[in-house]
Amino acid sequence: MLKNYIKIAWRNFIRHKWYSLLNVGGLAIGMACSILILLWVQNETSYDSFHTNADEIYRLTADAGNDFRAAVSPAGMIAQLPDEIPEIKSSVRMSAPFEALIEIGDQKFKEAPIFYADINFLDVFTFPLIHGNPNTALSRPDGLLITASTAKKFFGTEKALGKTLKVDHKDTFTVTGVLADVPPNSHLQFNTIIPMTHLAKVDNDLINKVWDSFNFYGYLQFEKGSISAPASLASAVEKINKAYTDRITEFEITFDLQALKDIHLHSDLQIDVPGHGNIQYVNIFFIVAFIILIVACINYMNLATARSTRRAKEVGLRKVIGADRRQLVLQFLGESVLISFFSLAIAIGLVYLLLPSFNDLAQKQLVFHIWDVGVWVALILIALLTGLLSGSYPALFLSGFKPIKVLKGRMKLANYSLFFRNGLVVTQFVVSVLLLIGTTVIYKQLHFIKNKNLGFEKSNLLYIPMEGEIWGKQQALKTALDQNPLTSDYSIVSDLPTNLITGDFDLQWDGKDPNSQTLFPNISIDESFIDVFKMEMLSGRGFSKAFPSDSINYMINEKAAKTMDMDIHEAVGKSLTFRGTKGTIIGVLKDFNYKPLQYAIEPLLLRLNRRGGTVVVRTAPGRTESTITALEKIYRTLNPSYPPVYNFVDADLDAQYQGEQQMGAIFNLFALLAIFISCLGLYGLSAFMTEQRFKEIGIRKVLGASVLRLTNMLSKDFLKMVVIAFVIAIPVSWYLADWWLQDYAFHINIQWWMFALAGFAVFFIALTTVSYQSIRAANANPVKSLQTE
Amino acid sequence: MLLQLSHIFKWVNSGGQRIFLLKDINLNVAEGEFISVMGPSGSGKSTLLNVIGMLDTFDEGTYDFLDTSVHNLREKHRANLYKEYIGFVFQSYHLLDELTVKENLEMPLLYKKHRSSERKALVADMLDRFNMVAKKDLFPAQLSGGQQQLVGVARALIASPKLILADEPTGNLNSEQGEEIMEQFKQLNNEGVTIIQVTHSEKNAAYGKRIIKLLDGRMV
Repeated sequence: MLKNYIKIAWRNFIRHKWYSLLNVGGLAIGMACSILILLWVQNETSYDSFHTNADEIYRLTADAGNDFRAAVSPAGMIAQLPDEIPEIKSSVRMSAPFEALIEIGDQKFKEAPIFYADINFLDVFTFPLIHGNPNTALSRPDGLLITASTAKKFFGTEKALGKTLKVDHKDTFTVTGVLADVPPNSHLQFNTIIPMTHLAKVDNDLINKVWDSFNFYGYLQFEKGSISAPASLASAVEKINKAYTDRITEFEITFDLQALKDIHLHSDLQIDVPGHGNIQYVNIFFIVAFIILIVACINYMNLATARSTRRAKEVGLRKVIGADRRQLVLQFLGESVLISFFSLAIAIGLVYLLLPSFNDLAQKQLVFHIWDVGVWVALILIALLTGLLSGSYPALFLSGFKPIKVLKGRMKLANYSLFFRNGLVVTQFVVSVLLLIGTTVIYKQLHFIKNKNLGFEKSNLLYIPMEGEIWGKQQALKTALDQNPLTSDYSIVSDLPTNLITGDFDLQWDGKDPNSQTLFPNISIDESFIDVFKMEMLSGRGFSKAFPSDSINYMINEKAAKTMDMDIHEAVGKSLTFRGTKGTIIGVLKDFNYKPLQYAIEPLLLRLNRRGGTVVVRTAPGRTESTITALEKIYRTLNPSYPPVYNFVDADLDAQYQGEQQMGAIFNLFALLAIFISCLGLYGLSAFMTEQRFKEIGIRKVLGASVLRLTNMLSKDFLKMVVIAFVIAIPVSWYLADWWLQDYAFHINIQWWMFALAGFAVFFIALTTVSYQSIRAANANPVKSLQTE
Repeated sequence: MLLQLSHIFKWVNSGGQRIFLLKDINLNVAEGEFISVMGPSGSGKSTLLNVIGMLDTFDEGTYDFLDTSVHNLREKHRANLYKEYIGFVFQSYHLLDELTVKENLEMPLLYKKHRSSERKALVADMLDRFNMVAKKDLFPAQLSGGQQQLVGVARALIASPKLILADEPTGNLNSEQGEEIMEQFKQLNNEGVTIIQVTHSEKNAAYGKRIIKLLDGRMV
């Protein structure tokens, strides 16, 4: 029996090649998309689960109120918590990742990211050591760990263990361990680890074991099973907060614990390690994968039922000969499952073919482990689900035919089945419109982000951080920069105003509510900052060499004036105390974005730079190359041991939204594919509908209908469905787009033309797809169609 | 007695009027009979055949088939009954285009859950009997109309039914092919199979041992 079914299915498949191609093509593309997306989703959700203790490790996070939640916590607190709270087995501190110059003999490497980590780093986290003793690898302050590929880069094929290297031109370290390369799905990405004990010699936070300065990432490893229940987790958090309030009373900070495995996707914290994902995108893509599969299934259902008149005879005959309904249902389900597995085979091929490009697009290193049991199970489940889902309706529909009706001439489709099928087509159109609107909104928002006026002119700004000897030769640097007309338009700032991660509570002004605490990000600038960045002053003046007292004066932004309840103009001249230093507000700057656009503009304090930091040069248009050369020359002279590394502010800004850009690109790709699959189905469906009305077309033509009228008549039904779908899609897409945009403090407004555009596009696509068939049918010789009866 | 129809009525309601398709049909068929049903188009011949074949229902009257009251049976049981005892031959053959001659013949056996060896033997018998061994691997489209109908007859016969119902079996055939089919029927009948055929042709009707004439749903 089974053999018979397969035979029939196979021969049907071969005989109706075009139809089979549409079917298998749609399903295979749909499955390939879903597999790719699921691979991505699987990768995103697998972050940090490779750690043996993954379930016991939590990161300490700090909430300062005012929506300012940060991933960092105080060094002393992290170190002392295990002593005070018995559930905590141990803790590891990690510094912020940084870049350093590494010298091996004459070779120089700029290496990043590098972390300082506590001695028990290797006990808590599972980063296997290839060479070296894990128990002692981090115990020497002058030992360091490098990853395997870094070792290869530094020492080639030579054994790295025991070799010495120089960091930042001063400290000599011995390689005490070679780590396996960090898995891509680790939120901590590094190629070198330096013991915290090294930093402890100079860092005040570490020396004084402070509880009030937030500069380290703190990972707490709990005793196994001690916090598996939500209640025990909550009580641990409570104990941590109590330990803090027992010591520190002046700042109100609420601490929380963030599960290690949640860090990658659920972290919307500030001052976090770079490169984290977004659970929102994972959810969106998971839904998109599902939608694409559904669209492909709907295709199959539509094509199969549209073609049902052809199979009706077989159904009738089988029934007369002895089949009962159950057997027929099984036969048709079996057929769709067969096609689905066939499509799966093609889909697997497609995935192999497309994975490299997809990896490029998504900036991932996804691997398709086809021989993995889990993957097999997932694939078979996908194919079975697709087969059963897409086969269910045709199976039930076809097996319900009454033999006597189908064996005698043509049968008419019942109204409800037409209704159902139209419903399916409308669903496809709704999905298409939704995805198109989504594409438009995402594109516009990303475009907006890229081109928003940030409050300063971001193009043509070249920057180069101070390193090595430069710190001590700032006056010489300034003189050199001033002398060259190419570089004379420069400013020295403590941080770039692209993603400012500073913040301070220690700010007093007259009339401040003693109970309130507001976090003030701050930046140190020099006299030329406003000119170089082309910012706008609202009142007062900028820092000037003409006023020696400016070194204790302050500038604020518009938002800060508002926060302090001051009028923009009245604020100038008022006094302000920052970290105990009393000064005067000399000017108010118009608000500019100094953080990514997800965040609203917060109050900002600007001080005069005394320490140096980063040199930012505004290049004259068209002179960028020569400016770079001039700048490199100045740096080489002043700081010969470091290779100068310059960057552009606008490139940095763009890089901040790289994740968003990738997501946008992936979403657009899959949206287009989903629409393409819909078109395949629509094309097939219109072909069969036209075929069914072949005779009617002949009669109408003989009676004098023009080709245009016929085309119009045949296309009208489909276009009606497009309109219905459009009406359904508008509120849904509006809601979804609005939800997505809420993530950005700065976002576009949803506009009517976005809907109109999507509606028009789908209308146009549907019209093109359908009218091809219609025109062909309308142009056919009517004699032919009338003869056949 | 193979089957017995008494006072069978079948009607449809159209525009408030009751139109009778079958009107007071009384018919007894004994085993081994060969009956030809004749009548003009629309007289109810096919409807009668479908009622006898249990593919169609009726509105009034009683129908006993081998001592089972068909009118009291639920659809599923009715289906089981006709599947076991009745073979159908259609005017337009209704072979499955995707299956070869051999596979078409085998299909009814598949649904009756015969063993594979048994199926093979039965199919071989049929092929032999209808002289189609050479054509067993051809598809219906590769056969002439007469040959296709022979396959149709063989398929109806393969599960050894007691009754064969043929709805204008020669309607699509030329006279020579038609004659061949009729000869087959005659021979089958001689072997004891009961046959009821619907036909337009006097000549073919003459093969039957008894002729029933219908007019406007009524036996005349």
